[in-house]
Amino acid sequence: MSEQTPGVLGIYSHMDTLIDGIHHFKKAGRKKIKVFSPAPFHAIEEALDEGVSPVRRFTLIGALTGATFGYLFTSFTSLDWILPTSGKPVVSLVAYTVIAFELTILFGSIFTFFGIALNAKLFSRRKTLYDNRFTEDKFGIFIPCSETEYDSVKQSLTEQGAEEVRSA
Amino acid sequence: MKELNFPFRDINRDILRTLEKPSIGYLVLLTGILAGVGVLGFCFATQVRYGMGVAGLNHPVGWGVYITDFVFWIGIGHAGTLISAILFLFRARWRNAIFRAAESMTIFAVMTALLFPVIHIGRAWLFWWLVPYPNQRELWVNFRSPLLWDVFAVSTYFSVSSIFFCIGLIPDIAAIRDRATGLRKKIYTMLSVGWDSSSYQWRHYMAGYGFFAALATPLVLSVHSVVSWDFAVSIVPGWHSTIFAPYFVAGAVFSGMAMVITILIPFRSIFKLERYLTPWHFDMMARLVLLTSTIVGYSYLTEYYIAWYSDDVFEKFIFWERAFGEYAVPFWLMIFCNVIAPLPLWSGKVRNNFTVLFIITIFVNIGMWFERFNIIVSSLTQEYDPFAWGWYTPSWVEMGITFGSFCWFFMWFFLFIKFFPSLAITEIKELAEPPMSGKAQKEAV
Repeated sequence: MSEQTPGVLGIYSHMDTLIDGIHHFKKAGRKKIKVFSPAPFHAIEEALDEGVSPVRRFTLIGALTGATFGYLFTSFTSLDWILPTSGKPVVSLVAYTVIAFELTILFGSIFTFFGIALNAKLFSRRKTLYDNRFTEDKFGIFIPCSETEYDSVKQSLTEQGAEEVRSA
Repeated sequence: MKELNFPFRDINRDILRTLEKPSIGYLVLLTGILAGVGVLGFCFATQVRYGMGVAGLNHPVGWGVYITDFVFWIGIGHAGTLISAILFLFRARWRNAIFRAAESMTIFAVMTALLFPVIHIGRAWLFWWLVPYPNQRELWVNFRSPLLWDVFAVSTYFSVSSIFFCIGLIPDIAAIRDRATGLRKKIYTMLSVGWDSSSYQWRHYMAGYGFFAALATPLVLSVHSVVSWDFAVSIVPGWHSTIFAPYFVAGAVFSGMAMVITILIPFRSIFKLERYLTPWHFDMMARLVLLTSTIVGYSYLTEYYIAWYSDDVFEKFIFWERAFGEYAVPFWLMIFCNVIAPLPLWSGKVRNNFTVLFIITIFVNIGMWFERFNIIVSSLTQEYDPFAWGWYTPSWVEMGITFGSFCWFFMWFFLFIKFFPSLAITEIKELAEPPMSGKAQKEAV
């Protein structure tokens, strides 16, 4: 059983209030806040301003690996036991392009999946407070902090429009 | 998008309602479908027991209904990825409500298609010979063969579509998890793989989702192109054509989109999802059916023009025979169903009339099956040498397996709609106005 991250969770009903809250806490120097929302929204993404996801690198590396593997695999296996047919080149790169293309897509997709899983920390146990309504219609801000800060953070969240506040 | 602007809570409630205890009607239908799968099993067992002789396949027609079914089902699988990937990249907002059902159909259609190479090879227990690996002489498979390209294309398509589909399901499974209790909660907790709707998860998820769409777009176009090259790379008259790839892809989207409409029309009524699957969605899908119908019709004409222009006697003969020979009935059925029957879709009133739309899409499904039958069978029966000609009639085993394949496809769809949301909860929420306090407006006043 993994340990819970200490912190305070504020639950919001409205997205505009939530965004104001994000701006407030970021301005106050709280960089590691975690925001919950029932769907992805550009407005929240802009307020958090977290930069570009590194998943794209996984996709690129996967796609390049697939293309390279596709050409090398087909070429080396053809050269392993040379069997000339109908005057066609032993290493028929045009024909192998079809296989290299498919493997580019396949490896690119598999690597993208791992990119999402690793970066979004899928398949791991949740360490922060959570509310079941986040997948329905509620928004939330979780602020990691030490127990001594609980009261002040709770007060800040309430002032920033949080309708319910809980601590870990 | 005013009409899909519902409160988030209503969206959860309405869509998750489809997962509630099945009705008697659902169970009766599912039982009938399972009986159909039994027919598939029985016919396949008969073929395994007595050999390929029970199928109508014989020289010169080695590819018959099984390959027709394979190409047909791969084609059906194209609409889902078109809707989920290509329309996602184009930001077509009408895809959000329908893509989940269409995407699930892709998976199930490809699962159905994958049965046919196994059934077709006869010794089904040796299907793993299709997989590229060195034989006992350390000799690898022939990577120049279009049949092997097919193995790569279809298996990649199935793998990528499945990953894309499962990734898309994760946030919605989390929504089920958060409402479920007891054993259901445990199962959906496991399936939701730790999803918590947090900003960092959404950030990486959306980035990855975009890349999946970008990868799936060329893939979906490549798959039916590769399937078409199974034919086009040969020198069989009627097959050896450069237009086959775009012609097959258009046909695939045509049949797939028609199947999506055929399924979603009863689905929206049964599950009372009229608010989410509106006439506007069906109008847009019907327009795509109409567009691809014209491309398919144009391709039929082009084939005839090329046969005439090439002045190749064998090519001209095959195309004459298709229209007026032994297989004229399937040919004219194909022309009627794929070119004539969709013409009323030019009218907006027809596109908004669900009964007529349903009937037209049934015609399209029939027509597209016969299109594949025509291409495959008519070319093989009367290839170059008249002394080697021979006719082909599907046997009851082949027809039983074809019928059973439809039941197999519907079985998966029926099971899916009871265990997972067939409309994407989070994507419909993206269309709706998020709840706002209106604080900014109040302050401005």
